Amino acid sequence: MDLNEALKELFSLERRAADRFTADPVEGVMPRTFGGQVAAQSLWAATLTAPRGRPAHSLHGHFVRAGRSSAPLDLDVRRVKDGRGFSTRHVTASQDGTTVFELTASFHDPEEGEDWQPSDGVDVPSPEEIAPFQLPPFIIRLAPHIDVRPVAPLAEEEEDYPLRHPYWIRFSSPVPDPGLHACLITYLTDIGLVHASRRPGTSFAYSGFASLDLSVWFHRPARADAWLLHTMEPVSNHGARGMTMGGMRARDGARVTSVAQETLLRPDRGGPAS
Amino acid sequence: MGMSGVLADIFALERQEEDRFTIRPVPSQMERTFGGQIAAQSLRAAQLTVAPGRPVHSLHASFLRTGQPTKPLDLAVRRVRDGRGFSTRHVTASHGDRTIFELTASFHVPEDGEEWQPTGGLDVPGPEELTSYELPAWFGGVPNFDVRPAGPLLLDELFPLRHPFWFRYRDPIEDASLHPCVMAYISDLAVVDSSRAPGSTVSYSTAVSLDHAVWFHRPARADEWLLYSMESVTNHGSRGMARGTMHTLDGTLVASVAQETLIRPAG
Repeated sequence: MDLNEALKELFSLERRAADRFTADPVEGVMPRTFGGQVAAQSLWAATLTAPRGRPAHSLHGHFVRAGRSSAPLDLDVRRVKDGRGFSTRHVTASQDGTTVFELTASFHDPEEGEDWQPSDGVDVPSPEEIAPFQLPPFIIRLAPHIDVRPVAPLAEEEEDYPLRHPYWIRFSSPVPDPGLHACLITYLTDIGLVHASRRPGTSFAYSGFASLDLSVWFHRPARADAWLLHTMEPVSNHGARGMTMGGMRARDGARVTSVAQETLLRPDRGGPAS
Repeated sequence: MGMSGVLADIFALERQEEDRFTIRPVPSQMERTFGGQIAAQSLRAAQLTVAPGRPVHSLHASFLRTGQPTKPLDLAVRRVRDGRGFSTRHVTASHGDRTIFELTASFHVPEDGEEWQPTGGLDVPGPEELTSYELPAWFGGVPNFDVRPAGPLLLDELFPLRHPFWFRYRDPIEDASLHPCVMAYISDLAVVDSSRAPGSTVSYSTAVSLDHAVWFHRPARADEWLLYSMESVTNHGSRGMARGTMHTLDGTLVASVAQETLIRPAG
């Protein structure tokens, strides 16, 4: 399956009414839906109801319940606001009438303005110098189309998911629809965020392990098929919740996104792993 | 309630129905309602529909239209979820049929877990070494707060207060659930300015908050000193972004804050 076909599977939404969409079940992945996929599909539904030429500049999502890969996903869009320069959309993602995810997205007509970011550059090896890492396709449906080059060492003790931030990431084939870049960057953004929220060097074992929310700010136009350096840092761990903040930079160092996620890190009753 | 004066008025929610509240106009000299006030009131409405013993741990909000201080504020709460450990609420704040603000808040039954925050203390003078700053009269004077800037004021600007600053409510707050609401109130203070490129001399025709997010990492009291520190992340396309923290006097990280802003250059 090439990238176009794979994208159709996730983003060819059936439009049941002007603001109601349905995404097909996804085959061949683990039973619990990858959060980045639900967020990306919800942002796509919002985008389909927003004025053309008004790109997404932010999303805030809440993971309300675990999604099931085997069930269709209904996406109901509410048009919160259409102003002169901004549109706001709220999306409820549900399965069999039960809400699994809610998202607020905002869209903004391109405008001129000051251009500034901290002057620190991208001080890591370039992606060509790093061997590719294969994401597990049983978690991430689009994994065969994603090129990942880990900058940080892999966590060898954890065989199921050893990727750690920072890493270079991109889709390995051209993305056909310009409107999809923000959705696909959202998809890439959620990869490994729960790990990024953990205390550095922790050996804790967790019984519960989930994303609680996800915020992405799209600061500058960016392509999901060009190299992006994804850097996330833990912020705090307390009361079985973790938090991570960071974002993505393009190859030339331009800050293209900021990202924040709070997570549930519920310790195993046994306490620290032996 | 343990609140006096204007702040008591701000949190005087009248329950119209199970999940619908109204707040009478709070006297102000501002033409537009202070965003932190709307966020704090919306969070309060959400709280009043959640079972006791589930403190708020996050809020995400969108500023949609200008709030008018002369009009009552209607707050409609939608119960998104009540699970075993978490509750989620969505609040629509409006003047009549004009929606001005929406907020999603999440609440979490206290649990045990790993305890960690980045090391490195607060590299600013303590509040006892600093002097109190009176906010400009037009701002309405944030009621009964002691605000102590830890850096220089920008006295040639309309709003001279800059981050970081210490703040606390001057009287004891007895209702524990009000502390995050009061923190949410202050969390919108001087944030648009903090999203600007450092040292920028550009003047703006529009400077407003677009969204707002607060994560309450640990229990905290708003009637004890908190250091609020926001820094600019980037400016592009007439949008700014600020990110920061609230710490207690002993350096404990109690909250993270993020806000995107509209900073449209004049002319």
